[in-house]
Parts: sequence; structure tokens; C-alpha cells
Amino acid sequence: MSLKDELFESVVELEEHKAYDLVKQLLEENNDPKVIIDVLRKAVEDIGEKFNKKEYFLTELVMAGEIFQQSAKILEPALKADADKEKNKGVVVIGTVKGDVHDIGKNIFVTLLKSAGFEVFDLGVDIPPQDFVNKVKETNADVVGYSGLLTVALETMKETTEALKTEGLRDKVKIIIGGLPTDEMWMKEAGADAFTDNAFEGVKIVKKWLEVG
Amino acid sequence: MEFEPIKEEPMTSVERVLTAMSLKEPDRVPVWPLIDFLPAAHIDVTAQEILEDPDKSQYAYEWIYHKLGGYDITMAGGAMYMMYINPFPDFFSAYYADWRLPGRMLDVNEPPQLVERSLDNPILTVNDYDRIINEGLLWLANFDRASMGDMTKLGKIGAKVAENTEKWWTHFKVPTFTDGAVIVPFDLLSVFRGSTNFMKDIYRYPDKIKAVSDFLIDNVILMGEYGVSKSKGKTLLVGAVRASADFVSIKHFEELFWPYFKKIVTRYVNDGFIVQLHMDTCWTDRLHYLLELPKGKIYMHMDERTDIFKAKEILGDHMCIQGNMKPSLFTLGTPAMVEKQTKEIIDKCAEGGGLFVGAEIPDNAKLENLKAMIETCKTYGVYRK
Repeated sequence: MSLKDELFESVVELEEHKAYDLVKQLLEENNDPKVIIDVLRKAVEDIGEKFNKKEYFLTELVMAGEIFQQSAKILEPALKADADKEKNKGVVVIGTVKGDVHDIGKNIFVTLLKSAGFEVFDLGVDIPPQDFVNKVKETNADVVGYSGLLTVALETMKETTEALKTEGLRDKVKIIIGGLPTDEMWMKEAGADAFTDNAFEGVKIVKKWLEVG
Repeated sequence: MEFEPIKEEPMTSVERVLTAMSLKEPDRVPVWPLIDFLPAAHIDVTAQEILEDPDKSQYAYEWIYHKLGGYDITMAGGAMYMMYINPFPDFFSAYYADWRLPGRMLDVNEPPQLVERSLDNPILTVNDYDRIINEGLLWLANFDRASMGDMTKLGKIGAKVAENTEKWWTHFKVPTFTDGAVIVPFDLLSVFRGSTNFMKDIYRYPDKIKAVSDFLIDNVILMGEYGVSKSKGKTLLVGAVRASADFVSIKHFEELFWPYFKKIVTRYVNDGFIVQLHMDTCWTDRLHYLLELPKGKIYMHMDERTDIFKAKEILGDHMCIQGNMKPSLFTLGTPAMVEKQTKEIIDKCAEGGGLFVGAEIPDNAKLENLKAMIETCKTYGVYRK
């Protein structure tokens, strides 16, 4: 088994320290950091598939995100030194909307989006519509994500979409809403383009929108 | 204020609920809307008063009970004070968990919300696992969200809650829910560590989680019994959230959650309490574990994430169930949609008793939707002998 295969496997098996050691070893052996990142990404995707098949659960997604992020930190200096830097695959602005502070799912979604190569601006929780508007303007975002669990969140999701409309930004972004209660009824009411209660599926939707393979 | 009298039925709500819980067929399917702050949207009582003022709170619950023509399980006025201003290191206690409460850190009409701290600023750090084993949890108390003054009111409010509870059971003949409440150490630690940190701990420090759970379990049991001794109620809520199929593997569920959950529930049943399981998120793949709990003494609320039809199949002869109703149905849906959903649940799950119909009711629910559920249970839900 090659070192890269070993890395892939250690990440999928969530063997944290083994994965970090392998990342370091691969770097020392002068492998392209972009190739190493790709191995990590593929491993996270594999974990997502296992999650969809209910072989893995949220805990495993969180660990996968952690291993990815810590590995990315190890790779960061090498990636920065690389003249042929990788461009981000799109910009996502996300937050839990005003009146709600639930963010477990949102945090996982953010980690998975980052590991898929998107640039993510996570506004946090209890975010008023204007803050979404400002960040979308500032970052030229492609996608906006609203997270929420309480029914009050639905009201602010609606208001946030209205605010984006008023500023002429609605047609420039795709909107995805997430949270356990979200469904088609919520999506329509909130004026969004997609809904999900599964972070991994959410990433797939965003990838499709931005045509990232 | 005088309320319209409730139409008499063959059984009282107390009889109906206890019959269904013991897995026999009552006169009709009991209906249980889990109402907490909804009355604040309709009458001159704020969410803060529902939480903090047992008289106004009792009035609010009597008002909504009569407004909807009567249902089968209710909250007692002031019971929520006993939960949120609880002096013990419990999930609901504003002294320990980061709750924003109405009129304190929220508008007077906003319901309580649990804030999860940022990942790098959790209530508990990894090192605190050892500290808990040495010192317990009392050192964690924080008086920003609830004060010493709140604590001194507990005795007086407890007496009022006991009066209100008694009034529901003997005057209205309606059982109260959540007379005391606890959650398993696993869930408590998840709240205190923050769920993301805690999920990493599950991989990195499972032995510490186990050791702390072993250390806390007897005190958790006593905390619930203390609560119910103050409210003089009969029903203890045991809540479960973060060991479901939405969060952890069966392996982690078995090792870190299930033995403790089983111990709490079994002990409460053996001590003569009615146990109300509150199972948030998806438990479908682990329902069969519940067969290890005492039979016919428990009712279980599940949200729409758990498959109630599967639950009926597995637990129908063992435990009374409620579920499969999405809270947003009551805000976004219509009476016809609610009626259809209620009928489907009755059709598939009512046989043999062991069913309550209902859901957690959002504070902005439409009353006509609630009425549709209640009326459907009272007409379509009649057991024909």
C-alpha cells in the first residue's frame, strides 16, 4: 500500500495521529501538497458516503472535519509557498438567523464546505438580515446559507431573503437553508432554492450549483 | 375569570392517560399538545411570567386548556421555574448551562434558548473531566443568568407549583407532565463541553466520559427526585438528545449512554413515578433497546425524526408512544393537513392502546390547527368496543 493509500485509510478509519504522521511523512518525501490535500478530500468524501449509508454518524463527520483541518494546518506553509496556488471553488456566506442560536449542524456544514475547497464566511448565530446582506456585498458570495431550528427562525429566514431582494442581491446568489425541521414548506416560505437536514448532501447541492466536480 | 366547561367524556383524562400507558384501550386516543409558552401569544401574560410567576402561568395554562376544549396532559403553572431556576447542575438549570431566558437576556415574550458557547470557550474544558471527579460540579455555578435571589424564591414557588399540580390532577383530572426533569450525564457533558468538542472527546477520551458518568449518575437520579418532591407531581421527564442515530454510532450509544439511561429510568419506575421519555432526533435504529425498560409504566415522546410506525411495531406491547408530528405543521399547515396526519397515526398506531397523539407545539402555532388535532382524537380516535 502506498503512503497515500495509507493516509486515505487512516483518515477514513479516523485514526487521527496516524493521519497527521502520514501527512508529515508525505511532505518530507516532497509530495505536492495539493495532491496530499486531494487525498484528504477524497477521504472526507468517503466518510460522507459512509454517513449516508448510516455506517458513520455525526460524531464521525466531526472527527473527519477535525482531522482534515489539522492536516490542512500542517500543509499550510507548503501550500503558501506553492506559486501555482489553488483558487477557492466559490464563496459561501452562512449563519444561524436572528432569533435562533442553534449551530451544531451549521458548524459541520461549514467544516465540510471548507474541506471541499469553498471559501466560507461563517457569521455565527443570531444573525440579523442586514449582516447577511453586508457580508454578501463585501465578499461577492455565490451561495448564502441560513441555519435554524426554531420556528421563529423561519420568519427571519423570510426577512433575510427580503433584505437580499431589496438590495438587488437575491438573483446573484443561491440560497440553501438547513436545520432538522427544514423541508419543502420551509424552503418555499423562506424564499430559498434548496433545503437540507444533512450537511453532506448540502455540500453536494452547493457543488452542483457551482459546478464543482 | 370563568371558563367554558369542558364537555364530559366516558373517562377523565387521568383515567385515559393511565389506561393508555398501561397498554390497554381507553375510551379514545389521548391527545397531548406539549404547550409551554404559546398562551403568551394570545393573552396578557408574557413568556417571562409563564416561566417565573406560578399564578399567571397557571392561569395561562388553564386558559389555553379551556380555549382548545380540553386535552389530556398539561404543564402545571410555575413548573418551568423549577426547571430553569434549578439549583443543581442540570441541563435545564440557568445556573449551569448557558440559557437565555425571557425577560432576562431575551425579550419578555421569547422562549428560553440554550446557547452553545464557541468551540474555544466551552463551559467545561478537557481538564475539567478530572476536576469533576475530584470536586463534583457545583463549582460551575454561574449567577449571571439567574441570581441567588432567584434561588431563595424556590421554596415559595415550589409550594405554588405543588398546589397547581394538585389542581390539575384532582380538580380538572388532567395529569401534568415534567414535574421534574433530568438528562443522562452523556447529554449533560455534551451541553457543557459543546457538542462539537464533545464529539471529539468521544474519540479521544471515552474513558474519561465513562468515569465522569459513573461519578455523576447517582446524583443525576437524586436531582430529578428532588424536583418532583418539590412540585409534588408524579411524572419525571428523562430527556435524551445526543446519543441518537443523528449523532453517534451504536457502539458509542451502547458504551457511553444506554447503561446510564436505563439505570435512571428503571430506578424512577421502581420508585413509583410515571416516566416520560423525551427523545429528540432520530432513535429508529435503536428502539429495540427500550424493550429492556420496565413495561407499561412509561410514555415516550418522539419527534418526527423517529419513525413512529417502526416504534409501534417494536414497542407496541411494551411502552406508550407519541410522535411523528412535525411542530411546523401547526404553524405552516392547515386544519385539514393536521386532521389527515392525526388520522394516519391513529389508523396505524392506536390499536391496543399505548398511543398518545401530539407534538411539541411552537409558540406561534395556529389555534385552529391545534383544535383540529384535538377534535380528531375526540371523534375519530374513539375506541369502538
